[in-house]
Amino acid sequence: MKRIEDVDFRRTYGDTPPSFERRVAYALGHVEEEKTVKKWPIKTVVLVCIMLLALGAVAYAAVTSLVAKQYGAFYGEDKGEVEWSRNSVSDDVVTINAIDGSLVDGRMIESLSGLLNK
Amino acid sequence: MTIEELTGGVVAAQGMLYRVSASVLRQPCDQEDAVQSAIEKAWGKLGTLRDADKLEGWIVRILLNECYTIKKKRKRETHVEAFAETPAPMNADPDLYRFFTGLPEKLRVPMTLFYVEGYALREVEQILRLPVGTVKTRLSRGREKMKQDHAFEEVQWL
Repeated sequence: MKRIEDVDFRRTYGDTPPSFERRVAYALGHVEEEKTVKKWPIKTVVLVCIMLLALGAVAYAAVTSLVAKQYGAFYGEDKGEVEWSRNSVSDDVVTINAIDGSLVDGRMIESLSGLLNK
Repeated sequence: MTIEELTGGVVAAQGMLYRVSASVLRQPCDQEDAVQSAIEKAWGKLGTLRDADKLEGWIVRILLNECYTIKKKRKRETHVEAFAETPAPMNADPDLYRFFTGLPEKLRVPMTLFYVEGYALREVEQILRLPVGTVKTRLSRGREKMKQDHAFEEVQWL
């Protein structure tokens, strides 16, 4: 009578084929090559992107406020519009920062722009 | 865990990796694809393995997942008849090979891990992520089938 311990289960699937061993060696060699190329973990990539976005936002805000301080709030605005406001006469309506106002003359715009610069 | 430790662990366990892949996939080229893919995935996820002692079970788990993925792909591509009986591999026990390959996969994989690879019940449970009761039931059903097989009817299971 054969006992269960006597059954050589290791022989169920036979010996490891040489082609299998070669593929294991190839795959290991492949990942070792990859090791030399520094891998960036996803967390690092996300963190760097967030930092770059934050730096970009700060730089934009700084440049915008410096430009406004140096050249006035209307710097870079449509020249025609500014010109129109300068040449406007009484009762013309102009909208600045979503606020409608009527002009006495072009000078009012200039004083208003001075206020915005402050 | 370093690449050197992974390499050492994989080389030491390559016989076991072959038998586990053979328990799911019949075609040698599929078994080789599965092991290569498993090694590459293991390398990619190496940082998630905290306990180096669990490398073997961890890589078996990855390998089984790769085997199931390839098997699903092949089922879509190939007609079922192509998976018909294949000759026993070199130096395999023909009776054991015939019996194991004739088992349904859900019995064959736990039987392979427990009897062929000698994993403990708890390890099989962890690798297959199945409740221990399910593993016990599958092993018991596998044993029953073995007892009924004419090649093993004289085997004493005590």
